[in-house]
Amino acid sequence: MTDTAEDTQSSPDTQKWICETCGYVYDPEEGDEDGGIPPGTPFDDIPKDWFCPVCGARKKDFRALEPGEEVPD
Amino acid sequence: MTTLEELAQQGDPGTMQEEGQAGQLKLMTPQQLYELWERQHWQSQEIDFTKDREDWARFSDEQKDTLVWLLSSFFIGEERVTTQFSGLVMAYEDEHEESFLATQQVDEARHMQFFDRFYREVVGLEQEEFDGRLQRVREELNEAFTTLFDEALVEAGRRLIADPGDREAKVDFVTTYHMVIEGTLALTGQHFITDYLEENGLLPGFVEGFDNVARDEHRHVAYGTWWLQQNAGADENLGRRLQEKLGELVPVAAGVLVPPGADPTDYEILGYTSDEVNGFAFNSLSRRLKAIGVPLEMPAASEA
Repeated sequence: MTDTAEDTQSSPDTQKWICETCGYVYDPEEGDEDGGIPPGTPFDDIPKDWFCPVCGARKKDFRALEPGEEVPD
Repeated sequence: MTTLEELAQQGDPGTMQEEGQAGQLKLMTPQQLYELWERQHWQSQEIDFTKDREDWARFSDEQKDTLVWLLSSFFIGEERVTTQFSGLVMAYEDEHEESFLATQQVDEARHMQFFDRFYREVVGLEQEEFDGRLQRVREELNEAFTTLFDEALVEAGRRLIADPGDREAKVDFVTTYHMVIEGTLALTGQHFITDYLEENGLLPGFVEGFDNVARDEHRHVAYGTWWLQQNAGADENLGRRLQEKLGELVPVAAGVLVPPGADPTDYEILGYTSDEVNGFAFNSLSRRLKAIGVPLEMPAASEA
């Protein structure tokens, strides 16, 4: 099952971001607890030294999901 | 002080509890990674080292020694894998994977060329031939590096060349190279070296190239994570093989990070403590294994 980014982009607090190298999606609702990011943390508030849990890419290598773009469920 | 090996022996409760769920994480396919490679080209010969040469001339002998040692494992590592990667290219399972793996081998040659330029044009190695510079830089490396790159990696590649269809040999190679060498050692080194140089405004040409190297390696690690998720994450025997290979190589990898003459349990690199370095390396590995869907299980020290 997939949903789209349309319903998640109403505010920066819920905007999902995708790693351009591996496709990992950061969802503020889930956070990244193993990476020290609690659920509910907007992407902008993540420390700059945080990195993608799959491929190691840096925060600057993520981009906001486009409206209508498919999100892996 | 905690070593990388000790951290790995503790396991990761988060990994254990959520491995099944995490194994469902959707990752980029080799075809998508190949297309990304086409969009992310860079040229190792075009990096401007002008400011780097000025910075290097002002460095203390201690700063120079530290950087020459730190970067030697990258330079020699890239040279090693440029040729030792051939076995994995031969082990492709479809044309999408064949295309991506061929790009990775090209990337490794580009990285070797980048480090050679840096050692020649900034560090100022006097050897005129490429091979002579490699021999000089090899003098910096320790026994753990030799075990990992000249023995474990070479043996894994040799087995794939002998039988490209050997699934266990492919697990061994991808675990050795993509998980341990690139995913744990290289990304950890890149994180701290780049952080130090950026914070201090040093070696901007090197940082630009090193950032490009890291972006290539993120693509490689993404492939390794995808392949292991599809195979070791879906087959109990291959999953166990992955765990055994990590149990064998994580203690070796921990030794590569130790500066010459330093206490392996308590050292500093560029002002970062061994706890910070080992913690970053362990965190990187355990989070990646969660995406694969195979928990980290290390043998107790007495069994290793």
